[in-house]
Amino acid sequence: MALTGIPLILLMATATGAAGVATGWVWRRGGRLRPAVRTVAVLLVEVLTVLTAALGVNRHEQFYPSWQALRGDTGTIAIAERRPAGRLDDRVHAGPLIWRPPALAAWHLAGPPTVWLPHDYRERPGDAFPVVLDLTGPGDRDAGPGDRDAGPGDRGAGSRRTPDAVTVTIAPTATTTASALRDLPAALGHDLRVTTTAGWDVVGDEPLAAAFVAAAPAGLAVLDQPVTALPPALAAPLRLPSRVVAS
Amino acid sequence: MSTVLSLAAVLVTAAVLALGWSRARALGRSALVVLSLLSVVAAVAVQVNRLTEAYPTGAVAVTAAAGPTGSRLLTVTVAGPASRLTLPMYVYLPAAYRTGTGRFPVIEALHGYPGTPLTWLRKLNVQSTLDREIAAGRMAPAIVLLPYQTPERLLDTECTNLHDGPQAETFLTADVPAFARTHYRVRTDRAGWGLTGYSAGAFCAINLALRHPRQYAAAASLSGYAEPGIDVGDGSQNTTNNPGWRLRHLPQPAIALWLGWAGDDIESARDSRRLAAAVHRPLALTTALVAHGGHSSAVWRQMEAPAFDWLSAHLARPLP
Repeated sequence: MALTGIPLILLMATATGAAGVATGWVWRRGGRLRPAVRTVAVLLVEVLTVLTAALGVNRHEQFYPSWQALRGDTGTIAIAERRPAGRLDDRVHAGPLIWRPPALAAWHLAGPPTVWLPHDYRERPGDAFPVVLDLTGPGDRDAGPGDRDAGPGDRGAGSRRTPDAVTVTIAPTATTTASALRDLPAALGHDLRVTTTAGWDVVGDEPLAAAFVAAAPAGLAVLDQPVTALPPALAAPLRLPSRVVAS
Repeated sequence: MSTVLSLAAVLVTAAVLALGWSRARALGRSALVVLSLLSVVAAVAVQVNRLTEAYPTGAVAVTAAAGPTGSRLLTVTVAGPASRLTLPMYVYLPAAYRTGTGRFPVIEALHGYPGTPLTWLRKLNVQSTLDREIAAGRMAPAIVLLPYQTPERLLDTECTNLHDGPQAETFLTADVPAFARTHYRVRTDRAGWGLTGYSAGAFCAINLALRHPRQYAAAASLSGYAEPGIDVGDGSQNTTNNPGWRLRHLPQPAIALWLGWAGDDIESARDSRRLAAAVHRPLALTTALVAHGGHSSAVWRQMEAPAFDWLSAHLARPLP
């Protein structure tokens, strides 16, 4: 019988009425046990009345639509999915990585992207890192680490390492388009442990960077924000059955 | 304790009714009946209050629950010059706050109606949940503010500025942030501020994020609604204080929303789906579905950790 169904409420109301009638009947009976019988009868009527009212309120408000809900059974478990290793995780080292994904040719870049990883990338195998996508071109590929930990004033200086983020520097050409680069986040997510739903900072070549942000799924990328505004690198979150709506 | 006392009162009044009925006259019998009824009403009220924490009983543990190096839960009073409201607030400080001089992202966690932040503390165990998620690396250390939203426990503000009434929105979006900036090492930029809430608090989180996108970067709704369900007094419950209307009629802000609901929570599920359907870029949406559980704390306990994890992934990191 459903917790919020009319039959249960009717049953309880009927039981309440019957208990009331029975209370009237036993009121002058019971002999020496009369006080106890009366007390039990009164309590029974009170309990049934409260239960009937509670069922009515619950039916109206739908706080607990089922017996399962009343028991606290949600039928769902939040799961922290294991963060898969990036395809290139075993090959990363201290210096910059020349990244040659399968889709590289379709991006029409001047050369393969350069990827700088955070110092502790290897020490945090369960974490996914935010991304700084630098569209300024190859620039000074020999630049040392630690140059991207300040604000936007440091933008556009070429390949640099960003604390707690993966930095990808690409060299666009005249034929590079934002739509061609749309699968870059997924490709990077396949090869390295990076966030693919939020936490991308895009800097550099202004029209292309803006177009990339506009073409990316909503919420993924922000144009030229301070590096300190990036989200942290995190372990795989607890997730419920969910979907990201990309519009 | 109040539960035991109220149930004892029901028992005693029933016994007195049974014993005294034959000895009393009409007036006395009426008094006995009224007494019994009152005891039952009182017992029911105590249980409803236990569920909602509208009038919390007993002291809240406000000392460090995780030891001398662990997180802390503080009780403070926010005197709001902008709203002219003075209300208590609980403040969660992560363990990392004890060391260093860094500035932390902030999440305002809002309660339902009727209710108080005590539901977050007692039924949703927010402190241990945050400790666990931070320790697991699924969430960055953050300061969580748990403010009261109304000066009168049974006055439903839905976190709005009621016409000729409490200015709850101003309190939550101006006074509480100002208090946090003054008293704690918090990030002051929009990227570091988020909102969450359950039930009416979930409505609040969505509505305030949509209304103040320059202050909040993300909001997570646990069983929320598309409209306030109250009369704000200026008709705005149908327009600017109505997220459904805002999403359909106003430009959508570049914020991120997490909408969670239980499949059998009819009203919240319908409203959340309606909101989700109206969202378009630049607003980013994530949805989360709990199979069943209705509109209850069991559902919110299930959503709580995933919502905080998601918020952390959409808010700026702690500043060193």
